[in-house]
Amino acid sequence: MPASLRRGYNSAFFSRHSTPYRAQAAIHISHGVQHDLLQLQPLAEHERTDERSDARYVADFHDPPRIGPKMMEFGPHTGQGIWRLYQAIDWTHEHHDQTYDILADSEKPWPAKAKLTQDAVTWYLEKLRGNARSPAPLDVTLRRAGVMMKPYATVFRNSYPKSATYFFFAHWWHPAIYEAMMIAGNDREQEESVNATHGLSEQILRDRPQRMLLSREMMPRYSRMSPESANIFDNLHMLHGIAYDVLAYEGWTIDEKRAELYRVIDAMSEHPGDRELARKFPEPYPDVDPRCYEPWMKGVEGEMSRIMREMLEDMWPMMSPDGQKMLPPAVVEQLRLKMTPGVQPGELPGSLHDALMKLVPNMKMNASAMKPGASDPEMMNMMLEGWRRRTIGLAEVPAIAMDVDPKLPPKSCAGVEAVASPRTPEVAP
Amino acid sequence: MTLFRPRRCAVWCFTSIFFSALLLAASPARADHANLEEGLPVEVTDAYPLEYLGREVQARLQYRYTAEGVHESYIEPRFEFGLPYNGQLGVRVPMVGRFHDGEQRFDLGRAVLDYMYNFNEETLSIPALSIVAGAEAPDTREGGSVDPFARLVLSKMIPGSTFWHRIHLNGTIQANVGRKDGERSFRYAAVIGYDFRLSATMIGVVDAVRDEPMQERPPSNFGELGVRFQVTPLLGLAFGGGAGANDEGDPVARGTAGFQWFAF
Repeated sequence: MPASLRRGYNSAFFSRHSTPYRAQAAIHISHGVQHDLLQLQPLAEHERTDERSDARYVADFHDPPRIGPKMMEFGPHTGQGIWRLYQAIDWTHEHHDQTYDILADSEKPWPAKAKLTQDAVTWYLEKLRGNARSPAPLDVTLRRAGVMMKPYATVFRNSYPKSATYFFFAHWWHPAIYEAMMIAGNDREQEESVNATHGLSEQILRDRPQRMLLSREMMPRYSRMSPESANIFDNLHMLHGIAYDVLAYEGWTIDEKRAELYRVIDAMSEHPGDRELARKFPEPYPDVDPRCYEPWMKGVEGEMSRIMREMLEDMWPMMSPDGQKMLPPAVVEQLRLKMTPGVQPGELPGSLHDALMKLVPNMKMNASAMKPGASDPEMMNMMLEGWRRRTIGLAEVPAIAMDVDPKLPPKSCAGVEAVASPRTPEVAP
Repeated sequence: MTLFRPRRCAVWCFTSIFFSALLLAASPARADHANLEEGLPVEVTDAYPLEYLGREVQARLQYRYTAEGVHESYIEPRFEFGLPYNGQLGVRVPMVGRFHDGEQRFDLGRAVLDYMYNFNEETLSIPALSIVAGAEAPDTREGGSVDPFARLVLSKMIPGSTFWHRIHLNGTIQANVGRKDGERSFRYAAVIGYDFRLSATMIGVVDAVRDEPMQERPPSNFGELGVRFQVTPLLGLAFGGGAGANDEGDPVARGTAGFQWFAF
């Protein structure tokens, strides 16, 4: 793997925001651990495994290590079998470190941050081509990945809901911390904003998001400053979820899982033209205050579910037995249930594919595309065409003005006010 | 042996202070405590080189008690550079103080330039394999020749476990280009090691070493135990030691403290 880009800002996040830095290290340990638990523990014991792993993750979050790990250190078995997965993850975690450092370094003038971040993005994309995550929006990369109708889709969130929601929490935390720095600027308001945001962690661990929050939702300002970096993180967080689904699925050998994950890694890496698409996404909450845990952050419905539903809509004309273009309400409902962590009343068993096949027995599927490492180019092109059609009128997200260090605004929560955390984050001197 | 020289002592002391200051000043991309380095703090190394374009300043402070009854202390600055992908260039220059029968002597030891190349990432069944090729330069005490060496390094994680622990095998053979009377034409060293995660930031490492000297003296056999840990994202420390005996039963021992700083 390459070394990270060496600049004066290296380790600024570690030095300035010690407690959040360590919290991130704990989250990354949990990511590593989860791989081997899914690969080595039988799915039949999912409830017990889920209970224990979630308890461990929360305990680690409360008593985090001093320094962040690499995936191999906490998921060594999977790493030996599917090593490119860890390269993709570790390299993007480095990008997390680097970009947190840029925002945290008070000696780097605020107007310089966008250029420094762009340099870090370029280093990230150029030095590990193939394993670096794409700067294109998740809407595009997920269509290329074509995982939705694979036999493993949604297994992790349905069978390991506590662990899945821990990672939904983690994927709230990451963008929220970026945004906390974006609204505060370089001065000491940054400690106030980051600590207030990190301080929500206890509340959110008790009342977790039920979906993966996207960068555009939780860190719209950062996404305007560097849409490439923001998309890279969405693509990493989605890779985590896909990897956990694949590893939890017991129908394939580890060799088959490797073939599938390498296909996904390639599909979600940078392709020609991806950088030009980086600003093509909606901004549902452009003024979000990361210091607030709003009701819209909690539910299943959001950008992630919208992307999934639109992908299914795009595919449906090819899949429906009678060539109908409209998704039947029962299919939409099963999708919603499958996207919800755990098993819900009325939810059909198995993967999303299994559930839809029970609901629509004559659904047309390309059997060869279901195999490990295989894809259905026709279906992918149809989904990508659907995305292009949907985004014709979508204006590119504008760049954010970075010429003046922002003044931290008063906290403005539209919904539930944050409760004080019993574990007060430390304030940097 | 040459008696104690104040001027050399000054150099020795300055070097110690320099590295101590460097240690303290090291500001926190990522030192990697789980990437074993020869002699930090034990002899065994793993088959993984430094990251591509990574630059590490390292140093070790080592005490050795030799089979000949000599007390030796080493300060050894090192520099490593990751180039290209999967490769690593290293240089190290030991400064050696010897204490024997009330006499002291300070020398520049045998400097080493070497290059490691890793051929593969390990799989569930195949270990990672690297080859190291390098040469040692003459020292200021006995002179000698530029002696090339080659090393085979194998590393394998133990599969089927969520616990991070690995086995390593190192085998070195070195030519004696300017062989003198009482010296071998070739020497060898063999190391088997095991490292394991103690915490998120600390690993333990043990090894067993058989080391044949270039002089026609009996090989030494010793075991070592050490820990490596990260203090900051950029700085790692290592402490360890070991003891054993040569084939004739003469005791040998060593203790090591060192650091790795992912530099500039």
